[in-house]
Amino acid sequence: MKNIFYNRLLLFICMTALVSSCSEDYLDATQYGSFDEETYYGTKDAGFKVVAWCYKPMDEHWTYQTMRFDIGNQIFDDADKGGSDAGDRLDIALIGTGKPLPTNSTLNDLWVHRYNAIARCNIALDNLTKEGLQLIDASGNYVAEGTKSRFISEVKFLRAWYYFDLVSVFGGVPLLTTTPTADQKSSLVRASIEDVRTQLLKDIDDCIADANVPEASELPASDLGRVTNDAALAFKSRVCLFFAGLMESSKMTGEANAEYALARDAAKAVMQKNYFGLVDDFQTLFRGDYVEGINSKECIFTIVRNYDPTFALAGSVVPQMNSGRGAAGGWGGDVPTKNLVAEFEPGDPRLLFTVIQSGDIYPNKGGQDVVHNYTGYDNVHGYHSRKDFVPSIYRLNGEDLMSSRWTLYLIRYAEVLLNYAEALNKTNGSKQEVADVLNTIRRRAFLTTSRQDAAAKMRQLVVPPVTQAQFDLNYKIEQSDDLQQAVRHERRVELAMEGFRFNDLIRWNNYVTVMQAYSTQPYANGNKGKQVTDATWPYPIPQTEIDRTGGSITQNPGYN
Amino acid sequence: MKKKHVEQRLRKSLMLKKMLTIMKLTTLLFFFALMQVAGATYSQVSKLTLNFKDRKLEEIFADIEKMTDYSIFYKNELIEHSALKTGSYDDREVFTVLNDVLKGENLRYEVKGKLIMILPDGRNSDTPFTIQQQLKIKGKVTDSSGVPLPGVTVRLKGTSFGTITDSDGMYSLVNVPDDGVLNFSFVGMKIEEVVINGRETVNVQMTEETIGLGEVIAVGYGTQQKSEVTGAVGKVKGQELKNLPLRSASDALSGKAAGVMVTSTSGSPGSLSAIRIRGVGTVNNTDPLYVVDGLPQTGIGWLNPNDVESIEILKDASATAIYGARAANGVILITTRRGSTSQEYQAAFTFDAYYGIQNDAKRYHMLNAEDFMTYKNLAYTNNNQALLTDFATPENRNAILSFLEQNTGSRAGTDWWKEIMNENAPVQSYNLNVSGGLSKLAYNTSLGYMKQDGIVKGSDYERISWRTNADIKVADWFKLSSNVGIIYEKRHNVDEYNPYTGTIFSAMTADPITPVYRNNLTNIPGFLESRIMTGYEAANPYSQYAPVIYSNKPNPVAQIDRMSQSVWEGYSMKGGLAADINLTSDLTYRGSFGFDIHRGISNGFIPSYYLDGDEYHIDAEVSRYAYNPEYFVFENTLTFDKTFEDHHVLAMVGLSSEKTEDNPFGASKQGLVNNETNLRIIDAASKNAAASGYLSESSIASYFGRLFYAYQGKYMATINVRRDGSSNFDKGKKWGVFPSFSLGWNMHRESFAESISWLNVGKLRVSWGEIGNHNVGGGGQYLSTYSNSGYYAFGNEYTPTLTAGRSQVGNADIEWETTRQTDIGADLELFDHSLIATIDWFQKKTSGMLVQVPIPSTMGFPNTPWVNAGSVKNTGLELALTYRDNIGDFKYSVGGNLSTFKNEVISLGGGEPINQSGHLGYYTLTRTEEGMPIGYFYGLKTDGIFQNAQEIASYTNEEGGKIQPNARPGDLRFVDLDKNGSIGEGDRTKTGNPFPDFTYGVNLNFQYKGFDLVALFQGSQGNDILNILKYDIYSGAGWYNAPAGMMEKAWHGEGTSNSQFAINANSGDNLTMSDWYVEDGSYMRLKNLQIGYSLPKTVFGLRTNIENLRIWVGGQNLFTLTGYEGLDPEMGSTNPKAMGIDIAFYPQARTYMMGVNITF
Repeated sequence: MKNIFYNRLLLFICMTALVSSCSEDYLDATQYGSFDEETYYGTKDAGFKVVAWCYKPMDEHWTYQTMRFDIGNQIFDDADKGGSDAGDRLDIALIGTGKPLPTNSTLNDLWVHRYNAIARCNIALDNLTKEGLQLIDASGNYVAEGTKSRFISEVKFLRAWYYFDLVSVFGGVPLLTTTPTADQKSSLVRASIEDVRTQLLKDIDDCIADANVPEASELPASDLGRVTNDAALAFKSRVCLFFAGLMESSKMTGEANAEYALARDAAKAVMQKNYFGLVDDFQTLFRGDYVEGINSKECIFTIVRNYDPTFALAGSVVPQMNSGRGAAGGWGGDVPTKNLVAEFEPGDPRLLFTVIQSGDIYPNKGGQDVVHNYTGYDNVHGYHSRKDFVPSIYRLNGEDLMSSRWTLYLIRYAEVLLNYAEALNKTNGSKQEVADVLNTIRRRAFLTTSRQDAAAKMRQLVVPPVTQAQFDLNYKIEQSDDLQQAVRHERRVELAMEGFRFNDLIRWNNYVTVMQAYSTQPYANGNKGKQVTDATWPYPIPQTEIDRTGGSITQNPGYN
Repeated sequence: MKKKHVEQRLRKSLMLKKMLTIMKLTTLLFFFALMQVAGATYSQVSKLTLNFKDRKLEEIFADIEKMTDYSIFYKNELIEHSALKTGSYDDREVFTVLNDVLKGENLRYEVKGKLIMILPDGRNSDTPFTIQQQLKIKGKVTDSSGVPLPGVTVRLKGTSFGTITDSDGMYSLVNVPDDGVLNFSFVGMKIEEVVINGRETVNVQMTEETIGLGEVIAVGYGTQQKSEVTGAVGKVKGQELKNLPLRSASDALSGKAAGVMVTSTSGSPGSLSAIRIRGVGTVNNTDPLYVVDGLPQTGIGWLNPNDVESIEILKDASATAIYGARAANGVILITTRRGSTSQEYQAAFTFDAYYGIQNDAKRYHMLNAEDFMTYKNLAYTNNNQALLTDFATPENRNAILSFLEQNTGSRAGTDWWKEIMNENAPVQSYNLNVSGGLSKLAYNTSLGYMKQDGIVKGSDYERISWRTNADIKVADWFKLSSNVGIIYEKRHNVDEYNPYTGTIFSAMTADPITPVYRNNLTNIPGFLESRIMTGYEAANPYSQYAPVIYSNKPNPVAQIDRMSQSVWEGYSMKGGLAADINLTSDLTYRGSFGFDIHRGISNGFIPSYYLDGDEYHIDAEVSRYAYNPEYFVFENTLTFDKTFEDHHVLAMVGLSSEKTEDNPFGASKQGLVNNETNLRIIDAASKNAAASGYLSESSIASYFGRLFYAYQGKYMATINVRRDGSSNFDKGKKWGVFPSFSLGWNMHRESFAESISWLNVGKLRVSWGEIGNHNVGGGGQYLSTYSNSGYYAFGNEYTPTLTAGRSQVGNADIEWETTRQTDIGADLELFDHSLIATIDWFQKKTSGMLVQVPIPSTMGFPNTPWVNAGSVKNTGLELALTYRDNIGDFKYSVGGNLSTFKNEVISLGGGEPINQSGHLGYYTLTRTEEGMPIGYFYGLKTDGIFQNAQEIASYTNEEGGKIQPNARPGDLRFVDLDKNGSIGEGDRTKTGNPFPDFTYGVNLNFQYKGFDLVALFQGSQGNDILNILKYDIYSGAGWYNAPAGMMEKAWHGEGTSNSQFAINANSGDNLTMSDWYVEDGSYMRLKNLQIGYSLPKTVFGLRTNIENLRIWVGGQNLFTLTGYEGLDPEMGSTNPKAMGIDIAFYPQARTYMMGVNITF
């Protein structure tokens, strides 16, 4: 009896011991597929991967790519939001009225996306600038100091790039240049617009000054899409032009002339390199292949996009979103207005490559006609953007509008010329030179641009050719013309539907008059632009940011 | 007769027989134990070591019973005058002892299996305990499955004269009057009374007492007498779950148990309801923990309801704390059917089958083609907009209508709802169960098949399940229990939970002008030609469907055809082995090992097709995804259970370790040559190969204990403690302790209660405890990590570059959510047990609720870290009542239950309200904030419709400005709650509460001779529903169809409506989230009705072996009383923040059924 009892007890103890011995250490579950920070920077190619990670926010479909058009074109007079009906993406239309709520989701999305991108840059810079950090490249060798320096400068450029989108919409914003911790949330405050400008220009200038950042002319073909010295200079001209406009209209303090001079000089620096130029045929840029255009002498900075499912690389959603609905296969966003179309001079062939008209016909891959029909949804103008359309032959997967190489020209040379002309004019430079620069652009448009949309079966718009003599007579800008007006017109048509309209109207400080006038047009539905006032810009800071910081971030005037 | 003693012995043996134990053990233990016991089995049964001096026979018998497996039966008067005995035995046969002690007492004994009967010397055991030889009446007593019942007390009513049945269940009595009434009583069985009526043989089949003193309740790691349980535990018998056209036994709890809220998340075959016990305690996972025969589960969709013996619902902290960190949402304990041992081999076969047909109970009738055009024209006209060319002229409209007439035979156009409905969809179930046992072995095995076709084409669910339980008494001190289930499931789905492309939603909203098919269309109007025919391929069957012309919705019939090419299959193996070892007669060790291995495989196929720009797939794609969760649990408990005089002590300690691993992977590839079925393998595809997979692990280690004490069966106290360690938390935060305390008082056992004749049972309970929830946001939320983050392309060769960066900012401080719960309850049985009532009040407060307190986006974090900052309180009342009685042969019972709970968020850690948006143009639909219920509806208040311009002009603020400057006559008037002079954010408020004031169920049972009727009514009162379908089908904006009658219902001039705004292509502000969407969701539903008839034993004049043959007809969801306009008011969501939102759910079917239950 006793023996049996002890046998059983022994059995029990054995079992118990078995359980207890394994119970402690197995509570530490391995997290598969991730690293801690320190381990990560010691892995192969970590430096370049983290830099690429800072670029990556730019290929985000909605909050970067379509956002460029949502904010850039659709809230002002160049385009409407389109879509299935009035309620589709309503928040864009509400910004367009001139008095969006601080809870507007489009503005909130912009803020969230850019700050997430900035946080990437900050965490990359925090780590890349760490004393004694020894990076390893993809082949297992140590990364040279020069390469690391280039990484740092690229990330600084990108940080400035993202901040610029914030400052141009919201004015002064919180200026974070290192990685915050969660408990710092109530100490976030907005920096002045001047301080943001200072930081932004410092980052750009650091990048320009870094000899390790290559000239575009030296950039290997495999590096297309990375930051160059030229891109940094061109960006600087854009940024300074914007701030100069704000200074001129007293929306910030600073010497407008000096700022225009900075813009002028930066643009000039790009021009003087004689590396970039305009492609002969405007169509080359927007035909739909996005091979020739982005590898051309006109493309200064771009996002290389491709449809490559092996690497989960998708084409941009922009052609899908911004093409006509129905047979055209798109979702009907970004509708060019009659107002924009009217801006084009009769005979300007750029219109052919800026808009498609309802009724135009493009063939599909099977050779059948696809008649674009822009009725039956939220499109009162009957147009769509040709610049966002990818004809069937350039789609990489059947008729799928999402599978293409369509991309944004983040900076193209024509803009640099326009920046230069405008800044030169503002700084009382040679009127002839201003006219010459504008004529360079116009000559390309009127004289060397084709009149035939190569991918279309039928375009209703017919643009007759222009001879040199006709050009000189009818289209050439003379130094006696109103050059400011000429620059503004040229910018609107040359860069139409590319997302520049917003910045331009803000820095020209004429958005109130332009939009008030627009609101009286029948196609404005009595709504768009109606409430645009001097208080419309800067736009409201997202309410959630104010709430989540307990009010340490403050609202812009007029939106309280 | 020493009745009490006999009863206690028998009760214990019955308990053992019925004890629905949780059975698992490691194989190690299994083999070890087997080796050890092989040679020693017999001696353990009948040998004993015993020393006694001057002891009564009664005491010696008690010792023998304790040390051996025998039960000794005797009549008190036989032994009460026997001499005191002295003896000393070391490892001797029990019979030696008996022979010695009975010597000289004129007594003998007889052994029948495990029963030893003490008899007056010289008498035969066939007529035990009778005083005279002459037989007058005899019979056999069996239980409901036909197994003989020994030890049943048979008494002549109104006298003390009687006997007990022998080991074969036989009894006989003499000298009974012809008109006498025999009373049969047995612990755990309902008392039966039979009028003798001159018969010589009276056989009785006793049925189990469903609720009563002797009932045993599973309480987690053990069982307890119901009378001694101090926690709040509800119980539902498996019998009630049969014959229901439902996938899961948990769905069948609807209306059956107080405190359990079951809401359907879909009527699609195979979908599972959301089960909520005692409200919603957290904004995180609110699913209860399921434990099936000791195996913890996250759901029981795989379990065949026919296999369920009983379901216990553990509600308060006292009941649930033994499951510690996973019990905060309540625990549902399921015990499956087991066989029972008996002296001689017994087996029972049960066959249950039903067949039913299902149809939609309610549908929307949408506008026909002509009315649709009128409706759209009206919407445009009201917006002063030029009409859409297609509908603008009578010629065009007529062209459309004659096109429809020529091709569909009717000018009405397509009735999409009818096109997708699967009329008279069958549901069927067949289940065969064999149960049996011998003295040392009991088994139960069942094979079940269920198939349910959905009321929407292309959806179905099929299950084959096999489950076997075996209980083996290896030795007197060693029992093995094993169970194993193998389940195969298969399911086809339609698109659900999706107001964009959902099948049901598309069928409601798609325009009636689009024909279903586009092959063989003739006379297509020119203006529609390209929109209908672009991309048509005559040879591709998936291309034969017409694209929906006027909206971006998919053609629902085409979508069903495509989706039904994909199938989900699940294979589950669930099992365990447990060993119970009696270390001493009071101390039992139980070791168990359980495993749960599941393989879920999604076989996907998307054909190549092109309907239009909204509906196409370029390359045919084939995919396989395999989900491979595996779970192992190893548990050890040591239980001490002893009764000393008036004291009953039970102490249990245990430890368990659990591990879950999931290693899913999948692959897909595109570019099949065509859409044929024989090509649908990955290797036949040519491009875009993709693969995915990950590995996750989590584990829990636990120590737990229970201490129970009862004094005289009157005063009970229970303490439960569990200490859990979870891998979901960082070092130092892994362990949590969850204690509970409870007290019970059986008033009816007090002497003062003896005089209260109508009080049979009166128990008061009170409990308090803490329980936890560790199930938040997956594991590893405490870690900060870096990981790969997709590709970015550089270079003119489009070279992809891998990117990587910070992927998660963790919070190392997070730990368990803790729920404190207080419960006060009472169990009553009154008026000779005819009225049974249970009432409970509870308060449940979750603190340290894990919430993602939002941080400013300015910080740019990739995620919102979790913090233990929230708090939620639920307070409620539960009441369950049953009354049963008979009027002659008419037996009836009426049961009802009612539960309420009030849900309130106490804190979100200072974070902003949590807004839940969804459809409705991304408006916030529900809000979760401090001081309010979780997920209440949040929007504007309306105040009727502006009837004319004057009303708009006079609706002004203090400065005289119009409050709604953009309003038009016929638009909704919104209330300026914050009085700021305009309608804005500040005017949003609570417009509804998705949680009901109370839910209830009413069960009716009637029995008359062979007939029976069961009805279950179930309902919910005071909950609101957010009918967001109205956004799309009640406004005129967009391109969706509207319900018939919409144009008359909507405002179309002064005084025509004060609730439905005017049809307009520009909906203005009318569609903003407001109380216009909110409807009263109260309903009462006849959930289930069954009428059965049990055929007499002699059918067609022939005697059969069939013990019981019942045929029945019935129905599910036969009618619903509700004011709700939508399809089905019974809807739930697994997300507690999105309850009561109607996004065009797959409605529940109305089912008519017939079935048969056979036992033989």
